[in-house]
Amino acid sequence: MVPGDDVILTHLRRGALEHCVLAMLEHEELYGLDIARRLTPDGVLMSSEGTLYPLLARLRKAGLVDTTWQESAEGPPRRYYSLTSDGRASLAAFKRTWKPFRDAVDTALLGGQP
Amino acid sequence: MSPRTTHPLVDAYLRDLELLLHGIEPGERAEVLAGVREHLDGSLAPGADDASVRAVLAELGPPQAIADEAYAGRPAPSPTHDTPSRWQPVTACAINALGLLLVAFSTVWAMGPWEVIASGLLFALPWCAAFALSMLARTWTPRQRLASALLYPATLLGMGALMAVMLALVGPAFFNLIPTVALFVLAAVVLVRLTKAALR
Repeated sequence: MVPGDDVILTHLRRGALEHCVLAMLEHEELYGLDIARRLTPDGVLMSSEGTLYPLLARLRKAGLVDTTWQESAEGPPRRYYSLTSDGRASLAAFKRTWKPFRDAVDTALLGGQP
Repeated sequence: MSPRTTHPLVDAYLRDLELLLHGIEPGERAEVLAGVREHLDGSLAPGADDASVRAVLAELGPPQAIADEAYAGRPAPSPTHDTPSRWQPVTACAINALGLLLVAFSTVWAMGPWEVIASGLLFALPWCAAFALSMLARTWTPRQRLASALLYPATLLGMGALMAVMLALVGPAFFNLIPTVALFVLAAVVLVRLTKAALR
């Protein structure tokens, strides 16, 4: 059986998406809805916004992000996410490995001739 | 606190999600639900109409997709997964105990090794049940399953062989009782260990 585009995307997202979430938080604290909106405009990184929340819970459990409550003008207080030092380290490690990984995949897709 | 979004569709969505997240550790489940709830509060004005609620829920995606992500990387929960049933290994142990008693009796009363094995065949049907139950015992390791499945025939054949050897070597003598009892004790120890593992 040939896996469809969706299946391939799902596999590719694993391991990459959580670092994309960390990257959103590199320079600013954001609340869930903000992160969801930034990650889903084209549906490549995340097909449904809701899947962000288990991911955030997992990142927080792993100590990579932290949450703080902040009052909002428009409604109930919001839970803002920020990077912890471990989160920063994890993001830096991903940035280091991502480029060689991406280049290696691109090279392989062209038949292995650099 | 300011008003929260209340809409039958939102309530149904959150209820579905909560049910699907049943196997997730409570703290994490609450966090996921609160995140989704906040998302809905943030993207829907109080008193939003059906169409906009549907649109926002569609963007959130099906509750199953959220639950799948929450379960990602851990074993999928199933109703039976949390408490593997114990009756199979326990019943297998009970049948094995009866079988061992039968071997002990026939060893004492039988006229020779062949009679022991022949009377042991009476227990063939219960043994088949014990074999099947042992293989179905999910609380046992594969080795324990095998030990439980083969305990009865191994003891029976061992006893028959031992008697044949002793009769050939020593002839009928009281001394023969010692290795026979030793073999029986060994089988009993295996059974006790299996039972303990089954009841744990």
